[in-house]
Parts: sequence; C-alpha cells; structure tokens
Amino acid sequence: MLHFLTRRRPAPRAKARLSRRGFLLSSALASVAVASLGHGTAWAGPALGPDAAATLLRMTQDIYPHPTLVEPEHYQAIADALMTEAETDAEVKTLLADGLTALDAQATALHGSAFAAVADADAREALLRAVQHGAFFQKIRWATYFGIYDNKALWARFNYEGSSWEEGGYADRGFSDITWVPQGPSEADRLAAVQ
Amino acid sequence: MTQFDLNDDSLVVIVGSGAGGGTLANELAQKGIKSVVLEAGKPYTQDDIENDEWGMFNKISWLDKRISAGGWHHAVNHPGLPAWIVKGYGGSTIHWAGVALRFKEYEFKTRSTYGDMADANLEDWPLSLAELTPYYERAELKMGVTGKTTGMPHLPWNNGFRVLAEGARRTGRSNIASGPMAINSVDRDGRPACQQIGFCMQGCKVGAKWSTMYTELPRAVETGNCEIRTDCMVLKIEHDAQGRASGVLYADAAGNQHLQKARVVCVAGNSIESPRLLLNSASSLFPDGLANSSGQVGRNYMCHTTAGVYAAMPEKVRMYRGTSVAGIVADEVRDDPTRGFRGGYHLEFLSLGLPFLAAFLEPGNTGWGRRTAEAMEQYGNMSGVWVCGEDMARADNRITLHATERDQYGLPVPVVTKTPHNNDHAMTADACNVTGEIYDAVGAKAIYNLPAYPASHNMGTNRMSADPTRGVVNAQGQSHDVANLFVSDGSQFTSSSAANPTLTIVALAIRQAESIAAKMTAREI
Ligand SMILES: Cc1cc2nc3c(=O)[nH]c(=O)nc-3n(C[C@H](O)[C@H](O)[C@H](O)COP(=O)(O)OP(=O)(O)OC[C@H]3O[C@@H](n4cnc5c(N)ncnc54)[C@H](O)[C@@H]3O)c2cc1C
Ligand code: SF4
Repeated sequence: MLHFLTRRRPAPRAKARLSRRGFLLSSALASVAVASLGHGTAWAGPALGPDAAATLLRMTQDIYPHPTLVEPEHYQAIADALMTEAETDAEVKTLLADGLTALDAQATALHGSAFAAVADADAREALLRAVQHGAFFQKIRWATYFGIYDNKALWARFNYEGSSWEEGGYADRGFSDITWVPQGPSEADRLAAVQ
Repeated sequence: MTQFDLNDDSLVVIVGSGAGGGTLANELAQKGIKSVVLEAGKPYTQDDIENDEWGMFNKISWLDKRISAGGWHHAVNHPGLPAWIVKGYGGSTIHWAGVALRFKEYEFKTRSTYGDMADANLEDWPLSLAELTPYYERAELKMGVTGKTTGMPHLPWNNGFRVLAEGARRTGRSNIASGPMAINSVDRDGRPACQQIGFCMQGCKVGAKWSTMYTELPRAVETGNCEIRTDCMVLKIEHDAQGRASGVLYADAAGNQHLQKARVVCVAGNSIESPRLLLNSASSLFPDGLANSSGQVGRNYMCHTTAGVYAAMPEKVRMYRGTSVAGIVADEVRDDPTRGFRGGYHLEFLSLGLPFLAAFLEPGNTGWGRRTAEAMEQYGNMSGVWVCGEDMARADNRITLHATERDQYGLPVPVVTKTPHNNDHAMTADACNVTGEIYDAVGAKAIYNLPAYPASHNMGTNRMSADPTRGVVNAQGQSHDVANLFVSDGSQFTSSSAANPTLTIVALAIRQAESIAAKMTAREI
C-alpha cells in the first residue's frame, strides 16, 4: 500500500512504510478543537502547572511547525484552549497532566531538561514520535490541526481563500489566471468538441 | 406534498433519496406510479450548503456507527469511517463532484475479459453497453452532462487542471478533457451555469451541479405521486407468507416505529446500507437475509482502486479556484495486461481545500511534523489528482453485521471488510508513477502520494448476475428470490469499472422504472 512519500527529482520513489494505530476520524474529531478554541490570554489557571503550559505550547509548535508563517500567539491560543478544557473536564485534565509530566520526565532522562528546553528540534520530534499513537498526543495533535489548518484567520497565509460563493465564485476572479502553462481550449473549441 | 396512508398497499416504497432512489422516484412519478421515499437523513436545502469542508462533513455525512476491517488502511487509519457518504435529503448527490462517465464495453464483461482471476470473484453483467447506451443518453439529458448528448460544452479549464493537462500532453497523452461533468456550463433546465465556486464536494450553492436534492425529488413531489419522508430510517423489510415483500418497518425522528405497506419495495441506501438492510431482514423463510439464496448479499464490496497524488509546482496554482474535479485524463482507461494488471484507471484532477489536504496528506496518527508542515506551506502551488481505477470483486470483501454492537436504532452495526486484490496494488503503483511523470514533465518540485480516502464510491454488494446462484438481482435490478423487491443503487453493480458510478446508477434507475411500470401493468408484481 502506498503511503506518504516526498521526493525531489530525480530521486527514485521510495515508499515510506509507516506503522500506525487506530484513530477514529469522525465528527468527534472534527469538533475537537474548533468549538473550544478561545482567544489567547496567557493561561494562568490552577489545572496544570506553568511547566505544563510551556511543554504544551512547544508541542503545538512542533506538531505543525510554521515558524515563518504562523505567529506564536496562534499556537498559544491552541494551548490555552486545551488548558481551559482541562479546567472543566477532569478526564482531559488527567490526560494532559499525565502526558505532559511523562514527556518532561522522558526529556529530562534523555536530554537533561524539560521538553520545551530541549534545543534540538529533531530530538523533540523523536520524543513526540515515541508517544504519537497515544490518546494524549493525538488529543493535542488534532487540536493543533484544527487550530492551524481549519482556522479561517490563517488560511490566507497558506494561499487558501475559503468560502467563495458570496463573491460569485471565481468565474470572474482568477480561476484560470496563471500564465506559466498554456491556456485551455477556447469556448469555441470546447463547443466544437461536443458537436 | 401528497400524503399516503401507512396501510396503502398499492405503493412503491423506496429506501433512500440519493442518486438511485431519487431518480427512481421521479421516473415512477412521471409515469403516474405512486411512491413513498423513506430517507434516514434530514431535509437539507441549498440554504444549508456552506463553502466549508468540515462544516459540511459534520452536517450531512453518514456518521452512524460503522467498523472498518480487513487489510485496507482504513482498518487502521479510519476505523470508524470506512466510507464517506451522505445521510440526508438527496443522499450523496449533495456531496458528489459531478464526474459523469460511462462504462466501456469490456468493463461490463470482466469475467470473460480478465478470465478467472485468482483470489477474485468476477462476473459478467447481464447487460451490455449497447443495451445501456440509450439509458446513458437519457441520464445525461436528465442530469445535464456536458458533452455530445446535451451539446453543452465542457467547462472552462481552471489553473490546476491546466497544469495536469500540460504534463499529460508533454508525456504524450491526448485523452484530456474538462468533462463529461453533470455540471451546467451554460444555464440549462432551470439551473445556472457553474460559477467556479470550488466547493462542489460540499454541495453546490447555486445548483449548477446535478443533485436529486433540487431536481428529481421536488419534481417527483410536484406530480402529486410521491411523498418523501425524511428522518425515517428503514429497519426491516417485511414479507408475507408467500415470501413477497409486503412493507417496511421504519423509525421516525422521534424513534416511533411504523409499518408502511407496499406493493413493491426498492432499496437504494448505498452499498453499505442496502445489503445491511437485506441482512437485517432475515426471517424464518429467509434465514440468511432477504433475497440472499445466492449468499452474495453483502459480498463483492468494491470502492475503486484509488490514491491521491499532489504535486508542488514551482509557481502559483491555486487549485481550489473552480470546479473541484476540473478535468480528466483518460488515456489509461484500457485493459492492457502488459502493464502487469487488468483494467484501467482515470486520472481525475481533484482539488482539496487546505483543511482536507492537511488531514488526508498522511492520514492516521503519524501525519504531523515538519514534512507535513512543509508540504502544507506549498499548498498554493499544488495541483492534484484522484485516481479512479477498476477494483476487482472479491467474495470476502463484504458487509457483515456485528455480533454484539448496535447503533442508535438498535440495529447491528455494519462491518465493512476490504482487502485490496494484488491487481489493485499493481494498478495503484502504476497510477502513482504515471501521475508523477506527468507532474515531473511540468517541473514538479515535490510529489506527495496519498492513500485512499474513506470510500465515496461504494458498489457491488447486491450484484447483478444472470445466474441466481452468482448474483442477487437480475438485469433489471429485480431480486432473483423476491419478485417485488428491487435494488436501485450502486450495490447492483457487477463490476466497478474505471468510471465514477453515478451516471450508471441513474441510467439503471431510469431503466428499472420502465421495467417496474411494465411489470405492474402486467400484474407480474
Ligand atoms: C465527496 C464525494 C464525491 C463524489 N463524486 C462523485 C463523482 O464525481 N462522480 C460519481 O459518479 N460519483 C461520485 N460520488 C459517488 C456518488 O455520490 C454515489 O455513487 C451516489 O450518490 C450513490 O447513489 P445511491 O443512490 O447508491 O446512494 P446515496 O446517494 O448515498 O443515497 C443513499 C441514501 O439512502 C439513505 N439511506 C440509507 N439507508 C437507509 C435506510 N435504512 N432507511 C432510509 N434511508 C436510508 C441515506 O441516508 C442516503 O441519503 C461521490 C461521493 C462523494 C461522497
Ligand atoms: S464549481 Fe460549479 S459545480 Fe462546483 S460548486 Fe461551484 S458552481 Fe457548483
């Protein structure tokens, strides 16, 4: 089975075989974060400690890193929303508290500092890959996914324009405006082709 | 809207309001035949349509409990979402992209063309292309398909398709067109021309794309011969002592159960729910499920051999501007065993929005990190393809009922088991290579291969065969076992072909309506 693969010419098409375990893509997934995305005042509540806040923020930045495209406050908003959720939902609080504690402990064991203070991005990614199949990681991963890629405020940076029907679609707004490949057939050609 | 009595046993009862059920209802209504359509989903209108991928997915998808099993990657990555289909007024014709292709002659005759392929359960349709052609033409006229039948030109080419087309041309391909699509390129049949909105798979806000939601269903109701009941989930088909279908048991929005009597029952719930309903209708007379003396109900589940290929180009593309499937490369639709597999595939340009591309670029737990983020930063420069290839019927790719798990209606949950045939693997690899070469020819900087999305094309689980021991229904979609029971959706497909299924579903529904009318007049049913 073919999975994700990236290549640059003229490298051969190497298949990346990746093991993965179940994650339910469902409406639950889709509503995970969108509903709970608040706006980013720095979190200072009682549910999880300040170390947890730093670890969580660093995690969101490592999960979908866009250092030049997405400002830190957008990641902060995702982390804050998760913290807020933890305040009101005991199950989420336990999931996050245990997961963040374990991640910092593992970072300390391997690299001598808490997760957020590990300087090497590869080392941090490796720490996260080791827990990626667990509910703790996936909770944060999908919250970050929705906070970045399903966040209308960020779409323009990715060159995505979102809803268009209000503007009459793209019929008169550049649906065929690139000039580096040839034009398609003219209306007369298209008409002739179906006669 | 006309209302019919629960005890009226002169009616045709149709389960599902999508491509199959909606078309059948209107065709019957135009002939003066009275029907009730029972639709499990809600009564959506065009006001409910948003240009928002997750918004629409959450609003109208079939999200009742289902389980993915077998060797396909969905068993791991989408364990609760084997298929992406709609639960609502209009069925999956709300979400569909509008590609309206005909089968090729050999694709009706897979068993005789491909021979007895190991580990497959191939069968010939009891129908030929010549027999279906007049119905294809009627379907194209009904739906407004661009091309020769209607004389409507194909749609103008958008940026993303122009990139694909140029690569296809440079690699020696010539079967390159922006159709046939069931999308108006000019105002026609009371619906406007496409405005290149770019959210075809979230529902067409202006109605340029055919959907039973705003064509067949309201037209059927207008005749006074059709009643559509939404929020009504059919639980079981009942039969009389002679083994003839006598009505259906359904649950309404409040969960109250009703028995609607029927003269004829037509099942069009899409290829997971239709066999599930027959299996759930087992009785002492039909212990293995209704209409299942062949043992083929639920088997031969097909969903097209598929993959996504997205290429990051050196310059801007903005693929999301305009029709989601803006064009098709059809050179690979041929049976050429020297390629190492049987059957062929279409390369269909398909734009995904930023949210869906980020979710499906690498589905499952591992699709995060720098490589995903880097790919997404190239979104504005991407062009992409959805591969639509023939999927071989296998007996053990099937819909079964879970032994203990129940859904909100108290019905056993369907388990959708699929393991791709080796032919599928070879075809997928070829399609990805070919698409890579095409994009390379226009200077692709990086290419991303995506595994299958949750199945939007579902076929084969109540298949046609002239032989009652090898198939569930005959060439009219009529059950071999129960004369007044019909299958009216893609589950009657004997093979999948490389063509998207809906045009064929609609052509078969038009043909079936004629057959039902004739049999009712002759009092055969
Ligand atoms: C995103 C997407 C894109 C697609 N693009 C294309 C394309 O470009 N070209 C193409 O040919 N096809 C396409 N398809 C596939 C196409 O939508 C389906 O092939 C077609 O709609 C199937 O018709 P159907 O009548 O079998 O089922 P549907 O259209 O799915 O209708 C079935 C209906 O039955 C209802 N139902 C099910 N069970 C019950 C029950 N027990 N009681 C009451 N109601 C019930 C469901 O709620 C549903 O509304 C696409 C599908 C999707 C999701
Ligand atoms: S691109 Fe055309 S068919 Fe698609 S949603 Fe827009 S108007 Fe409708």
